[in-house]
Amino acid sequence: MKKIAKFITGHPLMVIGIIALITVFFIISATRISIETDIKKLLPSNAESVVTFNAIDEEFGGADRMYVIVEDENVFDYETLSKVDALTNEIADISGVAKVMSITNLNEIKAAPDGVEVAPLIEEVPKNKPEIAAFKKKLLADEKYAGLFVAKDSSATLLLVKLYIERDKTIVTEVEKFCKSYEGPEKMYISGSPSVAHAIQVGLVKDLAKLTPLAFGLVTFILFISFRSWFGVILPMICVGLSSIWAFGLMALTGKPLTVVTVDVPVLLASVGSAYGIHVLSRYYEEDSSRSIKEILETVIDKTGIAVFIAAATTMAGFMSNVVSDISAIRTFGFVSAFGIGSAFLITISFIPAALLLLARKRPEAEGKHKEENRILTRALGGLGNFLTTKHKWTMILAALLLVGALVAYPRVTTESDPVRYFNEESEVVKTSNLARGKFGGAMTLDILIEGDAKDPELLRRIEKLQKKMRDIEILSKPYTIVDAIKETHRLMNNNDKRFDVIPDSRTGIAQYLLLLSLSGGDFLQTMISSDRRQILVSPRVNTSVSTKIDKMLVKVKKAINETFGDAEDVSIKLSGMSVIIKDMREMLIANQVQSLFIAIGAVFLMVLVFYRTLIGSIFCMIPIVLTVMLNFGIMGWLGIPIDIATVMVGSIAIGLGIDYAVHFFNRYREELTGGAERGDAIKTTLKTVGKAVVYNAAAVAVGFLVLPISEFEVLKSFGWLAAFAILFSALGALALLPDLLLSRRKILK
Amino acid sequence: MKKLVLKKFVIPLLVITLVGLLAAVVVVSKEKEMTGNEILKTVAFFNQAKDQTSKMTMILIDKNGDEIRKEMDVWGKGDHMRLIKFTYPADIKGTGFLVQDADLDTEKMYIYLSAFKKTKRIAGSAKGESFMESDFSYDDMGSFRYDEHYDAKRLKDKEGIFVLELKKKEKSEKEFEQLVLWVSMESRVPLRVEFYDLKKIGKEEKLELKKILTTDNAKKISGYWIPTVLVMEDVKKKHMSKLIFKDLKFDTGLSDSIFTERYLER
Repeated sequence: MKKIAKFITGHPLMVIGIIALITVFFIISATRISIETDIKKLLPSNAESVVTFNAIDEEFGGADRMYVIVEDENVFDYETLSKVDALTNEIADISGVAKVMSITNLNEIKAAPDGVEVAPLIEEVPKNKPEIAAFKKKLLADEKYAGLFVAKDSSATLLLVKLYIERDKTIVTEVEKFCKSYEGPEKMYISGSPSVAHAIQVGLVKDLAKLTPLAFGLVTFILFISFRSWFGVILPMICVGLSSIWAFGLMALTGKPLTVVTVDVPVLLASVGSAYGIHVLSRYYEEDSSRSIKEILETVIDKTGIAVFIAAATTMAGFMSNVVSDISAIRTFGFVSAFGIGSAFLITISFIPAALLLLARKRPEAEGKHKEENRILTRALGGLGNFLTTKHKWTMILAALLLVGALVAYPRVTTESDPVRYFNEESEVVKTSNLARGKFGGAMTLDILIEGDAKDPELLRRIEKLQKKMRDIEILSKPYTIVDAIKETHRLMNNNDKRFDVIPDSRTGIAQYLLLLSLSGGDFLQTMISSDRRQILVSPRVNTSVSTKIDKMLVKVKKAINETFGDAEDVSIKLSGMSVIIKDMREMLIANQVQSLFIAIGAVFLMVLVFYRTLIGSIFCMIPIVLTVMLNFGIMGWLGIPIDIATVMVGSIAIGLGIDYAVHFFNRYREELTGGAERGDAIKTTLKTVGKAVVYNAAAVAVGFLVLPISEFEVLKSFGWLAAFAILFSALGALALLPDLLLSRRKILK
Repeated sequence: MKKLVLKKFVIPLLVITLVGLLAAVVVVSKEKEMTGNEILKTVAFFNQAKDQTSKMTMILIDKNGDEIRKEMDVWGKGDHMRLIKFTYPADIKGTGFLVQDADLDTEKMYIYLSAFKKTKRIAGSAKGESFMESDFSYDDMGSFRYDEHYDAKRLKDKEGIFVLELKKKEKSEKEFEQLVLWVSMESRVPLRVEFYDLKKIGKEEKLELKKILTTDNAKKISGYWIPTVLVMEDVKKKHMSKLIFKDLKFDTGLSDSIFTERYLER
């Protein structure tokens, strides 16, 4: 460390030059950064639901579904229907749109003069009242349309827009533009996962522009309070600013997109990384001012270098534990934030001394006010010291009680992965989603892909049975399938005789009906059956906004599938659709959570053990952190905050950050003991010195995190509150619980 | 003597040669000067004969190269009568499809389902819609007489190929706004057709390539040049459909009675 210190103080210009060069390199890279907000792109591409989704996209023409809702007092008038018709055609023309289905262009199987036909519901928009009334009556009487394409109270109609997965991201904006041009008196809404992804993208950019400056501003403010010095504020902020640039540069360089998870990396770095600057500068101000700046700085680097390094290394380990996640956004967050922390460390330890050396002639004395404030804090910490040395075990008892209180709430912890829930109840996204749920049976689907001989009457009858069973599952809409189409054809071919409303017995019969429908219907079949007649798609809409309900529904669906297909040969059934993708995401969140927490705890523990070579000490340092993590889940349970894509990381972040406080405390405590102090006094001294730094640091970090609650996203709001709490609690744990543990150890030994 | 020879042989020869040369120059230059619309009129479209019969194989080829095959016997007379009898796969063998008055307002379509021994009338799809889930639309399967619907502009020739840019006539209701047509100079067989659609981007309108038709293996049968392999590619879906014609016969004097329900069920 001394050599490094000498090098830095010997070549300050070179140090700053190198940092500047690297920064320029990363700035250039960072301009190429992309944004990804599509939830299925966050899952591993080999996940079965994603593979199936892609297969459906290819075979059935567009697996992504967007819903345009046209709302009016009564949609059954010529003007509104004309708008729907025009909108249907215009949206269909946008490239990337596979198909638009609306009441003005839907095809259906009809009886025709001595025959059958697949024909549009209406040839042209009905003009006069009787025609419109007849159209309305027909739609509302048919469960293929009522509650799916037209609201049962006629107050809205829906355009189902099927999108190819590979498409321009601008597609939602284009659809929005078309909708706008027809708005009034009708209201237009766009729902479905592509539009949610679009809203996330818009929010993300807003967040980045809003949160980053605010976090930097707040942390700067905290620093100013603690140092009242120009250098004390500017230098650490430059360090974290540069590290943010490096982190985003790396993200762009490795082709990782910005997501709702990684958008808060600068906020995180501002609050966490600035601590390193505080450490270095604290020491700088602590040192005897009679020496030259160069000498002071060499001591500072030498003395704080290792401590800051260990702090950074453990934090990096905590963040890095997220790279085991199956969810790419969380993986990216793991390595990018760890890289940012590493950068912040390197920049702090080199840039701050180099800059001080070049800019400061003489180390300024700390000002009076600064001391006064310190005195209040010193007195508080002194009080804490007295309390701990006289009434020990109290904090341990309190901690144990809190733990019990937290554990009680564990069964209540839920998980959530529906992107709609990123938004608050008042947002357009949620309102639109509620509208789709209230009037059209939901804005997400379950895709059941059945592979087998689709001309086999046996298979079709099983599907018929499955559809019947699924009608009992409340949140599923009734899908129109190839089974329904074959039955309708069979009935119409037999003079509309109800007895023929069944699947015909012969395979060739079914094959020939399919030929008939393909000759008459254009792409009528495409959304239901593959052209090789080996795959059938059954896609009910799912009416819920709560992920746990999706789970229950899927359990029922799987049971129904087992009951109907359990003994079927040569049939494979795969589930996909947004509802299944959301469920997979949740399962991964939980599995990864457990994994990454264990890895974080293990890695951090090993690091502390290696650095300080004391088993009991290392265990003691871990206790406040583990407790913090456990309390975090208790809070989530009590307050009903679900584990989601953002809050899932609080645990590992708390471990990586919180351990610093314990380690600092323990380190100084040992130093005091080595200096010959009695244990009680050592605790008191440590509290007064390191305690202060810990309080400042925790305050800065927590304030930084408390910027997140003004985010556009509910997930980041919760994340901010939880992370701030975790930081404060781990600091408290280090200052109160850890000393208690250390003191009780003395008792045990004695 | 010499003069005589000159008079008797050389002069006429010269004249003949000159006239021949002149004629050649005229023909060649005329070919050069032919306008787009003139060339378009000479294009050997697919239903030039009075009637035709053939065996047609339709192969759908998806992105991954997986194929679905259907085989059928096809009869056609004039522009408006067509009959298809499916021969493969086995489960649709014996089914038939009859179109009377194709492309006219009085158009009637019948399907015969051998499994039920029933003939029913069906209504056709919109012209632009897919024919039997292939990349060919009903329109593509019908008349290929582009000259009725498009105005041609001649672009720069390629080797042995006329290149025409076809703009939809104002009155036409055809699906595609613009075509680019490659025509063999020798046989006048269309070699390649690019289909462009008009796409609105905000206020701007842009042509977008939708489908590409390529033909192959052109043969001269009973005096008519005809490509025997047609491949239509949907550019967006990366999906292809191939039609292969065998046993093509023209002008055999098909009777009208073939294009009736009775014959359909036979």
